[in-house]
Amino acid sequence: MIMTENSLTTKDVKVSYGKYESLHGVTLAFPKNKITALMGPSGCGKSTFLRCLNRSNDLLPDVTVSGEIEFEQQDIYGPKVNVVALRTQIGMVYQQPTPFPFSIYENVIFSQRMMGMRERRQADEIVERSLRQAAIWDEVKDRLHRSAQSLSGGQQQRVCLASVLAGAPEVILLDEPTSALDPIASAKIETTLLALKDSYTIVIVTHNLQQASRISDQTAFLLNGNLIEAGATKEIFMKPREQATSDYLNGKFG
Amino acid sequence: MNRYRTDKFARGLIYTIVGAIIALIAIFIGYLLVQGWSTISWSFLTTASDDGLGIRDQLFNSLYLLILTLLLSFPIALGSAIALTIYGKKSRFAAIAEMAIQALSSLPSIIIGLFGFLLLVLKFKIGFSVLSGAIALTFFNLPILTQSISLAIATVPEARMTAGVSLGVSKWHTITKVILPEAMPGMISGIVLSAGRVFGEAAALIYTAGQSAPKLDYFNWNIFDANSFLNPLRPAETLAVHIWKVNTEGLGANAEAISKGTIVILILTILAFNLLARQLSRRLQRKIYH
Repeated sequence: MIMTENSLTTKDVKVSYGKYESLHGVTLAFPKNKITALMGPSGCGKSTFLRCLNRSNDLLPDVTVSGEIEFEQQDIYGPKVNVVALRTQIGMVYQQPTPFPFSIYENVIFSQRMMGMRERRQADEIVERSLRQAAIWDEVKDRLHRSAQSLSGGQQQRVCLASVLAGAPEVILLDEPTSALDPIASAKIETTLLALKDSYTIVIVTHNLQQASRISDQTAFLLNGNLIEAGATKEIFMKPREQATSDYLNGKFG
Repeated sequence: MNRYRTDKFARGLIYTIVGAIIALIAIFIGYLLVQGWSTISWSFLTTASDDGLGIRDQLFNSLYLLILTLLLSFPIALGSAIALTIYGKKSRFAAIAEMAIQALSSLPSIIIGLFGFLLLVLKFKIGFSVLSGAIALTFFNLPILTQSISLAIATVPEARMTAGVSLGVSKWHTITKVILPEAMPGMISGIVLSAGRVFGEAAALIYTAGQSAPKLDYFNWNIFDANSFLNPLRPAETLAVHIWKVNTEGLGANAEAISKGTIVILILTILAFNLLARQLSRRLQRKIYH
């Protein structure tokens, strides 16, 4: 696989909660318009690492992040960075769907509204485009003004994805987006992500091996806070270089 | 069948206790209502106490003080609740502040009253006035109101904040547009319930808002006039203080009747606050989730 331009690169990223270091230096590049899967057993640091990428770790007390994370030639932990703007460019979808108690329409347009969007027609367009991209338009187009919380889990998750897309991000981070969903809803999300990668760089945390192998171009395997290995998904799954990776893939732990 | 029997017994016991409590309250309120009912009349509510047995001005004073108190205490309580539950969450500062708030909430109200007397009435020379009373009641109300607003905010899932922030919305906007609206039903019931407490408070007011109710002119909108109903610097005896005063001084033949009638009005108003709180927060809740 030819590695194209990178959208995000990290260098020796370490994360500590208080005195406890939970991530011990991860260096990884996320190629543009590709899907990167971060996999590993629970507690390996994959979600922690993901949360560094849009600085949502900042919200937790007592977290220190060191190392470099570069996005568009800029260190996102640099002093001049506008964190709020950064997070529109690098959006995040969580494990549990997190719609606000608003209508579907207002959920999708929320971040734009907060940035001052007032025009009705433009808002309508953004909502429709984002919901179409998130492959949920057909299911909700007749009830856009109903509460997003009345939808099923899988639908809520796609509405959340649409909310992220409405901010026109470069990168989409997903933290085990399907682990709270049934297989059919999961499959829909996967198809959606595959369709989205032409326009976005996607990073997905998963501990579902099949999912990683089905949708990702690059896979990184983390264990106990260390990056064990990373590479083209096919190679990692067919002939992993490290014993730990092969053990994990063969179900010996995790 | 033994476990089944235990369960049945426990349930019976619980129902009996609950029933006894409800009966007790019903008897208590019923007794007061029956006792005071004969005093209640249109003229009781619409004439000044100087002219006979009316409580018009006391009723108005109670409401006026309540409104001023809420205007003073709500912004402060809301700000501190946001600071403690969101910005300063789990911080040392928040822990200390919460302890202080808890201690303050159990402060006897007579202490607040005397403190207000020394500081506001004497030191700041505000005198026995609506304003002194409202500030004293703000001290009285702040801890409870802050606690109930904090609780209301705490019921909003933490995921709202992370979700908002991850969409590139600022923390402040996430608070004002998502978290506070969602906490609104809880906040409203907290406010109205604290309003009931404020409305019925006497001890904190005896030495701050004073024990006299000068006859008010409800058409005098000049707040600087001594008899204007809006003047915040005039003394203002409230319903609860009126009950206390009538009972301690026991002036006139009608003292007992006045006291009983005032109790009925006080209780009915507080009950109305409680019902209002439930209704409002239910309606808001429905509005948010559907």
